[in-house]
Amino acid sequence: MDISFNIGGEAGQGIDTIGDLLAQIFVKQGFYTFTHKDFMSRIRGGYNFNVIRVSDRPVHAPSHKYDVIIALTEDAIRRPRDSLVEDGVIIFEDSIEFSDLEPCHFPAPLLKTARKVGGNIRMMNAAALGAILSVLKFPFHLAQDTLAEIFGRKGQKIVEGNIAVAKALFDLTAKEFSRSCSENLSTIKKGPCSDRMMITGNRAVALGAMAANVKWVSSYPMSPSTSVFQDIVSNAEKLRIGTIQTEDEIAALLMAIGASFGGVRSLTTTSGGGFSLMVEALGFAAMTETPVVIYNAQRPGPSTGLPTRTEQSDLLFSVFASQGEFPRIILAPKDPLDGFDVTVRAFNLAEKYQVPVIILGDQYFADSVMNLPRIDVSTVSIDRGKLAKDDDGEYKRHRLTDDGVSPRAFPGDPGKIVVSTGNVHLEDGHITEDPEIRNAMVHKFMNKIPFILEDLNHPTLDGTSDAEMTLLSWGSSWGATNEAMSILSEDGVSINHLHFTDVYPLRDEVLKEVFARASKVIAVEQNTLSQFAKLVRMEVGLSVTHHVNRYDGRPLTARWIIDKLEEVGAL
Amino acid sequence: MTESAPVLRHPMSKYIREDRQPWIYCPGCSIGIVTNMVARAIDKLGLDFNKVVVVSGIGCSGRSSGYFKTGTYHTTHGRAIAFAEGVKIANPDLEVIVISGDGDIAAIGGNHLIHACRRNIDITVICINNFNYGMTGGQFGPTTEHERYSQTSPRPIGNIEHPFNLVKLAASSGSTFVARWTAVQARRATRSIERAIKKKGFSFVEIIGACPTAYGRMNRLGDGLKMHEHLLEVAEIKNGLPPHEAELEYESKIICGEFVDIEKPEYTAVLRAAHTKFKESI
Ligand SMILES: Cc1ncc(C[n+]2csc(CCOP(=O)(O)OP(=O)(O)O)c2C)c(N)n1
Ligand code: SF4
Ligand SMILES: [Mg+2]
Repeated sequence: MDISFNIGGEAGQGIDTIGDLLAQIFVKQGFYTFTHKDFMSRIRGGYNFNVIRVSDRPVHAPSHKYDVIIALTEDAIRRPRDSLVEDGVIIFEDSIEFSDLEPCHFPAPLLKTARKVGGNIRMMNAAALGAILSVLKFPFHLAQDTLAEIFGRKGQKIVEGNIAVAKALFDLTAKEFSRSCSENLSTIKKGPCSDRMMITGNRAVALGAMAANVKWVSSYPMSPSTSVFQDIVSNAEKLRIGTIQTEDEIAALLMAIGASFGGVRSLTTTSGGGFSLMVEALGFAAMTETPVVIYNAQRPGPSTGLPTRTEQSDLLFSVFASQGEFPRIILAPKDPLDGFDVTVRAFNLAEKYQVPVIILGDQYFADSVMNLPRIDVSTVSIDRGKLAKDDDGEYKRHRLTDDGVSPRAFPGDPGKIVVSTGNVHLEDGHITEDPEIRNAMVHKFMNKIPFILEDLNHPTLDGTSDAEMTLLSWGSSWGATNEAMSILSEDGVSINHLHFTDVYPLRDEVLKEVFARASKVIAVEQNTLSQFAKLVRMEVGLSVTHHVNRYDGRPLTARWIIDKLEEVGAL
Repeated sequence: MTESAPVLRHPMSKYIREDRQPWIYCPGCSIGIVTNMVARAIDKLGLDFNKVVVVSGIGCSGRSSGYFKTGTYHTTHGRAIAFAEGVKIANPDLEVIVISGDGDIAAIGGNHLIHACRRNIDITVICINNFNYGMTGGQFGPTTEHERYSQTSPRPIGNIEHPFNLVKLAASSGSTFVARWTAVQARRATRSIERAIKKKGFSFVEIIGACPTAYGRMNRLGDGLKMHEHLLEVAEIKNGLPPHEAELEYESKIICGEFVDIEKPEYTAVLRAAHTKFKESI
């Protein structure tokens, strides 16, 4: 089974709710779901849609075709029409004036039924759901239980109202719309998936940070990162986390650095525009060797760009941001589960090496919803790195050591005076212009890099290891790229997929092996310049043979990648 | 989903781009009203279109510039004033008007605001204060009152910080014209905007507005209509009151009026005089 739904309408019409309900019904039934949100940068109006894909196999990307479309505006009827599968169905609210009816169209009295049967137009969501389930011939009693569970908290009346509205539309659709949909689920069995936790990439980052015992978050709101900050703020009292919404991103990162200097794990969340403002402080964190984690949910730039859409174009910016040279770590999660893991590791790496760690998400990662297994927080290990001991002698914040890492102490620790500066400094943290010390401190920075590299994860290689063709991706491009690889290899193409979550500094062992074996290496990236491929060339001296780039702000799909592979002559 | 209404021409269609309509704003939002005020002020003053530049930052309020038929510039978040200063200095013959939100002008852009006031550069800044960041979903901002709720100051505690009073801020930073109105006092506000534009010096006009979708909903202030009715109820007009007495308490009293109208040497004029003096000296 592999079904895709497109639920479209204006901002503020509740398409998220319909999508959530639908996904939950399939999750409860044991299926994998993936929801992508496509929305405009406005609070009301416009044309937004959610794509929900349901499968008995894990899904990590939307599909390019829809089986069922639910439309709450005329735009939502017309715009996805060409992406409807041949025997697909478009259900739309029947008060919309639309006369170009085709056999696939079903005008449904969603609002009317919500009002009449449920007494509340908000129950239009349940009405839409009833219609969708009906065209799929999905046994209503299975959905009924899920609805009861979902609405249970809101009281018996709401539960009954929603179920009655859904049932009314379910029956009405069965009676009045005879066309059968591409999928018939009348004999649906429990699916193979027992993962029930439905979360976005952003929520995974927030959970990861909280599991890693973050104690300070200072941020300025910026799409698509804001929900991480909001999630942590809403748990702050319970978990005793200090949070502050600053006047801008300059203050956000500086406060986080200050908090870290004060002794706690700290985080700031932003998008590229905000990260641009943080650049001065980034160098300051590096010079003072103060650990800090920065989450950048990328969106298409430059400048305000496309505020609610996706891109992976801040990679090289993150690698080079700030004047001067210093070690930093960049991690780019492939999906929400990875997002949790990456965030926990980010805090450990930051404190172990006393460097800034940048997590590069993007809108696709940030807002997409998947069902995940329960995360066992007790497996999270916390490594705060080298901490000063009492018998270390006179405390020097920037003591020279073999691995470049000096034990940390915090202001207020008895007997230890903690001194640091953004100027070049002595071991004790006071300013110097001595060339020898300057060199020693530069070497101290650079000495950390081999240790960091050892600590980073290798890339993952999916598919046969000796394939002739390798797709090379990083971060959230994993899902669509992996699906493209699977489809092609089922078609007999000799292909595999090499994916990096830990993107910088770059571990090159597997890269070298793959480049030695494959005759074609194709970079698949959501940017114009193939930034990761450029990084590989810069760091390892190896060049990919082809490039597949998407930069229209829309998510990758397997089909899109395969079409492009043909276009660039890789297939 | 409603029946489409017959298309009426916008009364300010001479200045407002109908091709960009419908507005992106939520029903009941004040930003459309303020956009109209500015259009009417431009109309009343009979300004040459070609010589007007409307500048805004990022936010719902920031989207207002895009509806003007004049030259417009939609800058980055917080930077509208800095950009506008550049425009004015490059060509002092231009009438430069900034329209933006409380977050844009007083949080991320707060530094530019106070320095532009101090510099006394002849631009007009209209700040639509809806007490929160509407565009990003309703977080608190620099004008959100203590203990008010927002996405980032949730119940039960609310905002632990205290707001700026923008009239006091602008006045004490050196602005030569300072006024405050609410979105419902359209005539008076428009007249103040006219005066602000005419003023040779930095002018600041705060318009208290409603964001029913975010701030209104989270603080249970009712819909747009109710919020605007409230503004009408609590607005107290006190023209000429010393600016440090221009209190703002959303619940009970919003002091409105023109509080500062003073003469000071204007930056671009001083700059021109300095150039002339320099030329004469050589
Ligand atoms: C550097 C940067 N940080 C954050 C943002 C995200 N952002 C866009 S608009 C906005 C706040 C808008 O609030 P306000 O100026 O009060 O305007 P309103 O939407 O309330 O009219 C924020 C935080 C951004 N665009 N750029
Ligand atoms: S979110 Fe608030 S400020 Fe933005 S358009 Fe809607 S009502 Fe207006
Ligand atoms: Mg605002």
